[in-house]
Amino acid sequence: MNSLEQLLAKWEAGNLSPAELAELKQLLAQPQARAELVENWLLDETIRDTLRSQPAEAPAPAQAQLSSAEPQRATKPVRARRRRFRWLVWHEVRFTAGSSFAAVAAACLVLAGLHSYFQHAPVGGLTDLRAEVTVERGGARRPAASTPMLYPGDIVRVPAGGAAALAWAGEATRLDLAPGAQLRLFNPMWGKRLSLEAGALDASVASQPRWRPMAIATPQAEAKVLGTHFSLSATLASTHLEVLEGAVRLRKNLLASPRDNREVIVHTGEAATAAPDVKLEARPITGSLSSDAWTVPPGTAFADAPARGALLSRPGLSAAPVNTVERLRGYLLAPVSGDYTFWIASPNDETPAELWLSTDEDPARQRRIAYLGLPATARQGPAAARQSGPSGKPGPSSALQADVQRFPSQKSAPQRLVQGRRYYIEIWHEGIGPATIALCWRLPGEPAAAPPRLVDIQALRPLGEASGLEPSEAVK
Amino acid sequence: MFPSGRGKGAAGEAMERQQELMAEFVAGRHSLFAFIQGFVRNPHDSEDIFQEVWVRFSRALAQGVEIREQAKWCRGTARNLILHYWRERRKAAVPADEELLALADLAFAEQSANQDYWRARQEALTECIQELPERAQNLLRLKYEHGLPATEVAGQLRQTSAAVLMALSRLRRALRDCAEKKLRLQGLQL
Repeated sequence: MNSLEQLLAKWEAGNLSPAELAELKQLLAQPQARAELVENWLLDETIRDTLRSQPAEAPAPAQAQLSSAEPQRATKPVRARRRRFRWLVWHEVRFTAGSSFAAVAAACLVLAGLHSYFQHAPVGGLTDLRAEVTVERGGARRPAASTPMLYPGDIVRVPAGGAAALAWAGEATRLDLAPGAQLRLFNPMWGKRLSLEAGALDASVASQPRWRPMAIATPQAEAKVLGTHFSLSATLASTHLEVLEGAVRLRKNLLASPRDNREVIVHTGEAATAAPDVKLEARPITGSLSSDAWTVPPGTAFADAPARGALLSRPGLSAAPVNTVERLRGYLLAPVSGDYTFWIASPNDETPAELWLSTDEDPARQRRIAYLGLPATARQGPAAARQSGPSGKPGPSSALQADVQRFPSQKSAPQRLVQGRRYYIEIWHEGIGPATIALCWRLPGEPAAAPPRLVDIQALRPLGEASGLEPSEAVK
Repeated sequence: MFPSGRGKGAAGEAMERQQELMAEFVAGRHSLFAFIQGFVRNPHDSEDIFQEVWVRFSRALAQGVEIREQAKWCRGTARNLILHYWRERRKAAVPADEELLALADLAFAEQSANQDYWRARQEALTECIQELPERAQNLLRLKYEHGLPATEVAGQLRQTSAAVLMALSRLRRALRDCAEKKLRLQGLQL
């Protein structure tokens, strides 16, 4: 006959035979045995609960000695968990490192593929070619007319008297290259990348993706554009930027100007010049024309004044009663496309004056379109002269409307100009002491009966600011 | 809210009743675990079943099921779970036996009236276990905390199974005597 404890031990060990199971049930039919069962199981639970709630200590030396053949097997579950944890950590590290490496490798492959694709894709096309514009590709020069599409690495050279426009398919971006311009094209993977190595350009840039902005580098700086209309000119000495619409970030080349301000944002109506020892800042665009004046004997032809006259140090401001010829020259920036009509006028009827306008930026193509009075050589019409305020800046006149309608020769024939382009302009006039000369226009689209208005001063640019170099330098 | 106990209403009373039942569950958790462990004999599996009983008990309370006797309800749930546990392990050496389960259920039900005694005994036993030498504690730990069978314990301690069983039997008896002694000092007896 087994005791209850023996039967329970067998039950626990799984060695209880059916006969013993029946014996156990028979025993448990008695209340005393049932109480004993509860006591037994509660004892087991109390032992388990007590030991679980107190941390296990290091095994006693005797036990450690006993367990030396199989070290620490008593803590096998804990060690197994630790091993599994380490394995999981290592597995995770390997997986993370592997997937990161795979991602980086895939990204490199994609970038290399994209770079290769863009390297062999056309960058843009040349249009409106004039004169022998050339494209240098792989060290060989060829006429631009034979290579309308440009590729990364190409260098476009516009000769003196030439012109070219770079355009992109599918967008309204256009770069007009001035005579003497030299432009290099780069891989457009990260946006349109160009280098204006010499000369000037006028840019009208459509909105560009934010992550692929257009950037034009010069020897001194880099202009980064998102979408705007601006002009940029570069020489070895300086880079000049004028923004007509939008905003351009002009950043100085670190090597060219290591100690100056590095960067400036140039907004609509502002200009900035990047040059050594010149503070890089955005300032409003102010219109004016370059002025030269000579004292000459009365009756001297305008064209002979520079050779025969004495150059004044402060042109146009001489109050002395000497006969002076003044030349105002620069560029006219067309605000809209269409036919313009110009007038030249002076409050003084006896002031001889001439207005010359080129068909582009090239002074060689200028022609006289209006005149006043009778200069010694090509002067026609009545002479008129009256002393007035400072010259060089067309100022308002109370009798302007009357002044522009005195002689038919004061009015030009319609001149077709293209929006955003610059046109070389010259004004000659002669008088004694400071004089006023007025330049008026009628914009395209205005009715023929509309009275002439003074030319917007913002549309005039002096020589230096318009192209950054004198015409003679540009030709070089 | 309710300014006094009088105005609590049915919802307040139900909430109070739920809190009472939960407190009872916590107080009787050792008894319930002992019941489960007695049949499952694996501390980890017993823990799982115990947790499942707690989950079902909490869910029943949340759903507003009327539970008159918490201990009985929990043991009934545990019985079903134990049967399910053993049915999933048909090839195991210990088969499920509903009659034995019913007898054990009856045994625990009979002792539910003596909760204070068993609680005091448990406290006394806890003290006695803590007073045991380290080596004895390690032996008990392998057997009851890690749930190793006597043969494995014997293998780890480089002893025979019979020696381990004998040592365990002696330890249990010593713990019983120790607890009885402490209870007698407190004047408690079953």
